[in-house]
Amino acid sequence: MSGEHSSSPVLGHDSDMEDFSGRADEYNTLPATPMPFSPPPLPAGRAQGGANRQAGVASSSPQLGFSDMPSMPAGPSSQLAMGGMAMGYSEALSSQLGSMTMDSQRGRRPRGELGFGGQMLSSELGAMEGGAKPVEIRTIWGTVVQVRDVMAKFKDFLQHFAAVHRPPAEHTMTETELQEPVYPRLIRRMHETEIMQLNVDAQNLRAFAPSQRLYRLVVDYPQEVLPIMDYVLTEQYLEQFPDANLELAQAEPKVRVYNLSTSTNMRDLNPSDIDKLVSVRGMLVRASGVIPDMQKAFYRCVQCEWTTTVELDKGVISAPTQCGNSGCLKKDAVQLMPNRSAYEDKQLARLQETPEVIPDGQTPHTVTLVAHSELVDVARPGDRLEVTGIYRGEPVRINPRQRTVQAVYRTFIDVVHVRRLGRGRVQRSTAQGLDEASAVVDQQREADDTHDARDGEFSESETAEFQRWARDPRLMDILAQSLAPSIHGLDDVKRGLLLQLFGGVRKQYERAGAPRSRGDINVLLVGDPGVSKSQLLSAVHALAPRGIYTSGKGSSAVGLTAYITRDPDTRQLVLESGALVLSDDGVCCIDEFDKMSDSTRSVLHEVMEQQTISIAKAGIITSLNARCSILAAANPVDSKWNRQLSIVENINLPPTLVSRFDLVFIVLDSIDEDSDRRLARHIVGLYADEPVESGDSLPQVPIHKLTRYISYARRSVRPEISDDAADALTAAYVDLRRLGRDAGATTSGAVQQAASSGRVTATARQLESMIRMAEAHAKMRLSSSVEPLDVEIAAKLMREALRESATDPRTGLIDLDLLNTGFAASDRRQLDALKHETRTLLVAASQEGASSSSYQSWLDRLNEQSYSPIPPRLFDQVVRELQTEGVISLVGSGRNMQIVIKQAAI
Amino acid sequence: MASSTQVAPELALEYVHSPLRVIHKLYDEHASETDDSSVNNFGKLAQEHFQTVFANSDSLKHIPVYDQAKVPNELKSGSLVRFRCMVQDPSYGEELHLTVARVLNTETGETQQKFSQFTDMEHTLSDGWEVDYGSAHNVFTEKEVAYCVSIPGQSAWTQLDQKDNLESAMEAMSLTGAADGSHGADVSVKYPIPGTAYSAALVKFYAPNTAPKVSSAIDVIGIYELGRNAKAQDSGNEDKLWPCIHAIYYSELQPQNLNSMLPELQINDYPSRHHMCLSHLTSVLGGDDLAAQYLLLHLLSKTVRVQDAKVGKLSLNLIGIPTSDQEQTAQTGFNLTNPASKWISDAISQLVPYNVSIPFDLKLLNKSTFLPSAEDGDLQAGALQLVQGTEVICDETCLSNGTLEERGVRNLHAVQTAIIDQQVTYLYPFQPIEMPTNLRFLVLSTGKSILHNDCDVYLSSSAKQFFKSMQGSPSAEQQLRPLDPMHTEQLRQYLECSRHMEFSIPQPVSDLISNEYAQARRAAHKEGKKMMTQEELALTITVARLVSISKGEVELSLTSWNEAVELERCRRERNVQAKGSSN
Repeated sequence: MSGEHSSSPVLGHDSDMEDFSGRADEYNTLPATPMPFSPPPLPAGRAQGGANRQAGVASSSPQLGFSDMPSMPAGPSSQLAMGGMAMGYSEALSSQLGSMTMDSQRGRRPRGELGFGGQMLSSELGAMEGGAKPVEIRTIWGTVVQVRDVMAKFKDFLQHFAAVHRPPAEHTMTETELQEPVYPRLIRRMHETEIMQLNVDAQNLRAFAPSQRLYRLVVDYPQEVLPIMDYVLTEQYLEQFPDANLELAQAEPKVRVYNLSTSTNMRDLNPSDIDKLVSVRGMLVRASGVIPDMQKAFYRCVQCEWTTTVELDKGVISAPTQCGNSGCLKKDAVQLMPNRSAYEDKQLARLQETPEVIPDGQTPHTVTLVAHSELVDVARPGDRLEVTGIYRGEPVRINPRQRTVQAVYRTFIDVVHVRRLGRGRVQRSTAQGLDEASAVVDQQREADDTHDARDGEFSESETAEFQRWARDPRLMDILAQSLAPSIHGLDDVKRGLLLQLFGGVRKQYERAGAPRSRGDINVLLVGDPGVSKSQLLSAVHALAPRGIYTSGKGSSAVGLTAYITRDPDTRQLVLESGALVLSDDGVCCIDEFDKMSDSTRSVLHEVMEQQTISIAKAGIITSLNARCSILAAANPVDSKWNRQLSIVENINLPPTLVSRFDLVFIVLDSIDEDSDRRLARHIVGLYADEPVESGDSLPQVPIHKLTRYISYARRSVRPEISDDAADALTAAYVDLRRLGRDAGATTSGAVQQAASSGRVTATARQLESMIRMAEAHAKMRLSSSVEPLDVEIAAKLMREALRESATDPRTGLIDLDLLNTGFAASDRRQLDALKHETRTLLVAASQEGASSSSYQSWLDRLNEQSYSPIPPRLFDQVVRELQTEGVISLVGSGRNMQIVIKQAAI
Repeated sequence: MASSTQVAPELALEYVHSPLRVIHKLYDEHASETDDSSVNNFGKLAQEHFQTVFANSDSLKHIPVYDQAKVPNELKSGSLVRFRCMVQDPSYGEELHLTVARVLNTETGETQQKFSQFTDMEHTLSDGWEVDYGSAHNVFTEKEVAYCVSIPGQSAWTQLDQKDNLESAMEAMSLTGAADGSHGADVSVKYPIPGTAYSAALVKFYAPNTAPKVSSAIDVIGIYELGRNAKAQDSGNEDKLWPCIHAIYYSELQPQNLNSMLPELQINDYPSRHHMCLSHLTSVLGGDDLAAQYLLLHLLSKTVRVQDAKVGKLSLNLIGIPTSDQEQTAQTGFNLTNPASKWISDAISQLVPYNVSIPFDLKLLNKSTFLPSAEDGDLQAGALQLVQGTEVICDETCLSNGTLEERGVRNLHAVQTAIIDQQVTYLYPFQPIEMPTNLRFLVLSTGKSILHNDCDVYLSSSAKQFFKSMQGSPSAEQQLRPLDPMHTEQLRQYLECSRHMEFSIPQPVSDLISNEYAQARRAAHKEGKKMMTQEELALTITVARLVSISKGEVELSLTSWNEAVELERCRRERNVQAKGSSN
């Protein structure tokens, strides 16, 4: 069906040229006096009358990605026709809107002067090709666009722009590389890949002195300037590759401008932006299917085989009512031949504001996007995009009666360029590939953007302010205080959470097969009810640039992970992300962690070490990234923390899971009259409708500032560990390892030989955690290297957390086995003794002939022998171990469990 | 003419019946210079003009109240209406408007200006005239479109005064369904409480007004018209006509302004009103004065956000409401079936402007949506999309055995989040947005609620008996002693005024509270008893604050503090007893 489609004329040398005749007066000719460039006090010319009917007709050939939307009544068009090349930009009225606002800003010209027919562009092009000198400077009326000028400048730009004009801040390019023009190389690539699109970074246009003014022009008059650019590109392309057959490629070279200096907020788009090039950021929330948009209709008379093509005009194709063959002239005999008509892909999509730009308490705005041909399906719902395009208006009612004033218009953006922001470049598409193929200078920016682009730019003053903060020696205290200011005390916990928010550095080693090391810090808060754990969680959630707050109780495995549903529209299976996937690169706060179902917990195992989620469901097997840090809060089993018991006994969580947390804080409701009083005063202060006087004079950072700071640090700092810090880390780790020995020696003296006690006070996990925390602290200082100071603080926090969580309550010593396996070394000894006892009992019983008895009765019997009650937990373990040894077997479960002695084993 | 303070009724009527004519006249008078700025300022001019005319309540009465049921018959397109509504979806599309169009006679070359604002109607041109789209004199302005619905849970007494109040209400009941179908898209998903009659319209806001925030309650004065919606086009129903109101001006609806009949409440009126209110609530709760105290405090509570904490809220769980004897009827929607719950809900609806009941019926929990969710830019309402200050009564007595499905779990979770965090999540695609809300939750249950509330009160045995006796008689509703209207008015005023009172805690009282807390904890620790927690302290302070404002005190006095401590003690004692006896 593309037969017609591809036969589009190239370079304005054939049939479509005819259209120009009707549009002769579209270009206003001005005397060749010096043209003031800016500010443009240029009188805006306006042609009247005659051209009306022809306007917008020439939109025939494969479009530049924005062709006519169903159009509106045409006034005299400001269209620039370039021999059928990429006419689609212009659509009569919408271009008028732009020029109208322009006009009102500039002085107006007496109407009598309007409509001076200038020479048509085609002749001008011809003249240029012929090398004739221009006698006049021509502008496209209604604009300050001077065709010749734009062409010359853009040509210069394409030929001569090199990295040296906009050198990246840090680069390793040689002088020759710097001097090498960028775009000829990219045009070559265009040729090689046969992707006829050239991404032009608007900032490059600005950086290149001769083309500087082009930037303004392309932003203000995209519909006029872009086709000229396309034309120049085609010219340039054919110059470079004279043998290239554009007809074969079925696509015209197109210029895709992106990276404007300012990105407009969706809700700030207003009538003055109409027909301007704008750049908006947002999230694609919906994309329609691909709509074939008929560009040319092919008709045939059923009687005499007479054929004709009718082109799209103002969104309407008017079918001939009568056969055009003078011999036939039959009415109503002309039939549409769909397979010989020409179509173009079109897609409607909706872009929604991202949370960062939504004012407080408001709902997100959306804007409609219209994408054509190559830009169709470039992005998928859920992608964060920066869209560069032309903002346009179109009457709500299409094809109305002629005699009315259309009052209501809807707006949309005609897409010129799509750039994906943020991570998650899962699939590469045409435009994506192109993005990466852009200039060297672009790549630098791309790299920055990928890191974390969703928070918008940081202004210089903001950066300076952050740098100033970073130098404050009280930085950590200030920030910790600002985190959940309504919560009193808990300074260590707040520090830990702060480090979690900044996060360590994610490492991926070049070496094949090397493990990926997570940079996220996981924190677990355990403690008495009513000590504001939940508030801490929500405070972190509010601060985290990205994150999800969920409760272990309410969320099934489905809610926390990804699940698969059937899309109601397409009946296709789709993967819907749950909390963990959604908080990729953020913090996932899970309240009531202990109430979580086992299946959900098992998912967390994977997330916390591998940072992925595997899905195998309904035929879809995939693994999604879930690189989030987890902040969990759990309550003790008996609602109140029992100081006599270890952490594993206190919380109902498998030790394997607990050990995956970098920091475990135990928040207890302790007695301290002074702090109680301060706390009470603090709470009273909250209720008093007046500012809370804080005892210390630390300044407080407002929440949104803190969020910005965190984003800034996460985005722009990637600290590396200095040699000194590495030494400090080693020393801290060794210290921690040795902690068991020293403490053991001092507290229990000779009785407890550290070596024989078998206590482990630190494992490689703790070392990794310490590294992450040191990195996070360096990030917080906005320092590019981790210094011993960072290590010191990390080690201190680590010790604090370990002292609280990994202390064996029976010995008062830190024992990591408690966290890792649930049994401390002291338990181990008890366990062995108990096992021995049990075994003796069992032997005795079997000799008596009793072969089975209930679980409880065994426990009772043991208890009778013992002078201190036997913890059921230990007995459980003993039974389990005996079972694996094959001494006994278990029948039944729960309360009715029977222990059967295997005679043979004894 | 607009400057005169007294507006002649006939003038007001002209404004009501042909507002567009008035606007055109106004435009001709004031905007001879047609540049952008004068057009942009015109909205303000028109707003001020209309505000002056309808400055007093007498002239306001001339404006008919927008009611979808009346649309085809009584309400004519192009007339002025008044609509008290909730902004259900504030970004229901943005439109550009060709406010000033230059038209051109193709034969004579003559030109004219066509002005249109506050309407979507097209000017019809006579032969030979065409719009000169190229003219520099055309002015485009933008307008924001919001989808607005009548305020969910609006109590009958807050409805705007109308001659035939009852009649039209009945009509609305029967006709709303039909009205929905005839024009506009299927909008039933856009009202938070399904199964209730309501009105809806697209409200278009012109500069300088912008669309108000989502879920805010507003009072719109504007021009009614059947119009088009730019947004609907994407979904393929471009030919549908929507009821539109072109807002000339609007104001945020303040609950205090709902009953302006009474003279301002004086500070020395508080004790008597307080007493009156308390005795009324006591009789509602079958003579249980402790529960009545707490119910009053609950009604006075509101959420205040201090730093990142939410203080001042007091969600209340009344425990001991008997389960309904009646068989569960098939589909009751959001109507309460338990006569006891209904009794309480009715009594409360007499006192508060907005109240919504959510029966925790398994079917309802599993089927309905509580959180608003957006699909393709179209926000669909959930039962928790309510205006600030709405009283939400959760009836747990109709909960029965069964499976709570995923949606049910989500719904319950949503209610719990709203209770604790006073937040409602709007499920926008890929990025749920949390909105602060301000809802009061009253949970009625037989045993302790499945939801966690700020405060639980077990009903006294006499109150339980009282409610039990209701179960037998089907005509229980009639038992509610109708309060003297004057008194009801007074109670409403008292509640609203107290709720919005300023409040502070003087330093000496604050010190005393801190000391008491520290000492109580130390004492408890010594005796090995359970120590008072931060949360308990916070609750006591909340209670003290409410006790204080219920008496019209702007500062916490020692007496009120002690009263609060005593109240809390009684409540805990009773709760312990009740728990003991039920075990």
